[in-house]
Amino acid sequence: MNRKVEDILINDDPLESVASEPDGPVKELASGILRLLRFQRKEHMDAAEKVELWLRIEASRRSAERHLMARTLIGWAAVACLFVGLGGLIWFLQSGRRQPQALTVAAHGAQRLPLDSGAINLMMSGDRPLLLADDQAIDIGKLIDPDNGAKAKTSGSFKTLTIPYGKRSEAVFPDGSKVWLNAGSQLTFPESFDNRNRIVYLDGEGYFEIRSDPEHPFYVYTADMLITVLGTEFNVSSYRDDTFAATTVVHGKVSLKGVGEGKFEDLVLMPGLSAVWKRESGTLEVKEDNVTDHVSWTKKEMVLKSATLGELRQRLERIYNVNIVGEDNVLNGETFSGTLDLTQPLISLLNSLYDPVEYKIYQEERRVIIKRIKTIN
Amino acid sequence: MANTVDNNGWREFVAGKADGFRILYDRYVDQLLDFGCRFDSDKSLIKDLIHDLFLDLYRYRPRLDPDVNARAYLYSSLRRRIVAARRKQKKFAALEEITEGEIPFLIEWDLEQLTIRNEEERAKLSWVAQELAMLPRRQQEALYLRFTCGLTYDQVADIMEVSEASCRTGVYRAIKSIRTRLGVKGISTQLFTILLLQNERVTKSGQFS
Repeated sequence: MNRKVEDILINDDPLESVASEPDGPVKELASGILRLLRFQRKEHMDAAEKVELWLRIEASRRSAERHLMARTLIGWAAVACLFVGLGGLIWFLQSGRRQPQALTVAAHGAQRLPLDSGAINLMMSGDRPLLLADDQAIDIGKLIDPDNGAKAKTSGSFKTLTIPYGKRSEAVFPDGSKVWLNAGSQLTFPESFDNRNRIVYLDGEGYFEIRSDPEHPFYVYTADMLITVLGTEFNVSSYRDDTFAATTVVHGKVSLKGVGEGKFEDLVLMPGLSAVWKRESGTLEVKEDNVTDHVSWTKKEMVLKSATLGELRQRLERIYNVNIVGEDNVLNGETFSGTLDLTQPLISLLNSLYDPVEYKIYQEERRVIIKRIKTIN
Repeated sequence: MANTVDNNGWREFVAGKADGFRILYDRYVDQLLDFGCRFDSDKSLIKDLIHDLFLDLYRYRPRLDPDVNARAYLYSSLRRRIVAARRKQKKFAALEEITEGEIPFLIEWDLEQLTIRNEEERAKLSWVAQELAMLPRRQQEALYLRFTCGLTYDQVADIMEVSEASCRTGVYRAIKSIRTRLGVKGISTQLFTILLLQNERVTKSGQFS
């Protein structure tokens, strides 16, 4: 059998065809060509681009549907019919479930804001940020311009509240629901937020206390999960730079649905349970948890159970807005259990963990450095 | 080539299943982007065209054929849109005639994704890459669709709007051309082997093929 390279590769199963060729120069060339053809660089989109394009498509699709509906409705002659039709159209526009795509676009847009600015601020799409006082609860109802209310229902604009590193804040919604937002968090909500349209997008960490209304669920969108709430207290941790996202229920229950990169079955989460989405492996784990561990930050404390500083580092860095620097054996060498009081300055807090005889802890501008003091043996 | 064409996402979408549209997008958008970018380096243009494509898919869903080969259908559709967009832009008006279905295929064949054992192999494969780059663009497109994308001949034919026979012939000629040109260059298949082998044992003396 004296096949030429082109005879080998023209086969319907080229891989098999090359494999079945006896070793030799012809096989080598055929194999080389095949490999080169098969393994070419692929143009791709990163996750954000992929979501953005999807959202554009969804937005156009809905806009097309709206126009279609409007045209259909206008055709109805009787006033009564028109009234019902308009009611349906308004429902369509306000429906929380249809909004999320545009909401997520706005939230992603807002995420390019620095979390480092040191000031709690509110950013409207395109406008200059509004700085807010950080010593009182934020009244979201006041921030939603009442004059814009009517316009907002059709324009679909959003606002984003930014809580920078080093700060934490409580916000109150027009319906009475509350959320405590942890350092480095952003909450995006539509201007049309009201009792019947309760929907937000969270990047970061928030502890929610939601007023009960079974007819109008409260929706919390995050990068990986959609949390549907009827009347509940729960904690959501979904930081962009974390490898995981977690929802923990304290009272009541929530239903979770996977969105974005992750897909998982809808599930209902009961009190005392945490659902943890691991981004790298793309798996969801539901486990019983001591919920005080997750929400202790609202009380300005952190409960530790055999945790290393390496594990805590990111959270502490956000809360105190510094970089924590230390060698690997320092950060991961010891584990700590107990309750950390976060109202203390960071250095005294670290000194309570690391014996000052063995470790030197000091601050250099924005860095806090932990060094093991070399002992003479 | 074990080419599993999973048409399920397509069928479910056409059937109108909930979330079918999003699943279709997830399954095909990356491939579509890669394919589109072989014709135009303007990534945002390709994204716009993909946007238009999906919008139309949604609009005309009830009329779509559930049994059609999804990938071939989507690729062809995107390809046609690129041609139309190019015509509108009149990019090549002065330089090239855009005959029906003919748009410059821009792949840059490179070695980056390959694991290469030694310098000789690298040199050799670079020559192959050079030869590939000199083939007529239509042949390069056929090779890309057939081998890089792993599509069957009839799918490739659909996308390129030619007959299947024409497709096979194109692929055959392309590979033969590479082989013979390597021979002309003095790189016979033998020499190729010699260069590939770690030791320098000469296996056969002999002829240029």
